[in-house]
Amino acid sequence: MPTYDCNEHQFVENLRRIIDSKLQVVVNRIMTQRDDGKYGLSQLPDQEFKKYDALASRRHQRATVYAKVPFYDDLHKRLYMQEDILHSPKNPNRYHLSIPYISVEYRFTLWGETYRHEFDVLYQPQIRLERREIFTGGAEKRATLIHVLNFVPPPEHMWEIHLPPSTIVFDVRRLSRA
Amino acid sequence: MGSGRKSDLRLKSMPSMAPVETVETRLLELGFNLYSEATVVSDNRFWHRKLYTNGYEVITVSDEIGKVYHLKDPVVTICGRKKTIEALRSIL
Repeated sequence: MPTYDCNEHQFVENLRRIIDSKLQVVVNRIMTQRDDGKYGLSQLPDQEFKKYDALASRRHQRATVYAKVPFYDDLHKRLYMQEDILHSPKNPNRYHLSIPYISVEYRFTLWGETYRHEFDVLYQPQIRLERREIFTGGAEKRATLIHVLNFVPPPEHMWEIHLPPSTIVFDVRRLSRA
Repeated sequence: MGSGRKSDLRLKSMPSMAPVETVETRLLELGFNLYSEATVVSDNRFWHRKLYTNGYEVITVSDEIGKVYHLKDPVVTICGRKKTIEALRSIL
């Protein structure tokens, strides 16, 4: 059974043609939260990178990204010091800062052929100055005023393709063929 | 809540040759409000997706961000009334 990949425009238009022809179709949606290093700071376009401007610097897109100031990554529980490498496209490292995302896949099957559209929605950074107790070397913890990076999940309606009520959408975990 | 009935909603997706600002201005004229926005990655391209609502009607405008070496087309996806689709079709 063939599976066709569609972009947003193609997927929605294919679905519209089915709805207009009064055929019934079930749309499956698979959503997964991921933090697997797929997206790092060096890949981001300048417009998106600006959101991290208080913490990170780089020469251009796809160049190595360095910490501008010491900061604490609250999601991954990691402390980065000034000049630490946050992301390098040439030498990926599991200690690099990764951006979590929600992977969304929509698919429907008609007459044995499957049409799907996939996209990822990035978590948004939230940067605050906070007083935190952190290890700064030695045995004791010290309360320090430090930048804290948090990641905020995108609102639920941003993962959805908004469809008319005549279309049934089922959320599924994964697809398997017998 | 808002205009129209849920059962009147139709689906339409259109690539737009018009700049995204023109689309957004028209949406505001039609009574839509910006509800939320997010960064989406699809087809290895980064998109700034904005969601506009007016009652039951929902419109997403996806504008590609970053260095774009091809003709950039904001994608407008409408789940709305026929009247709204026609109003937007005239500017896209």
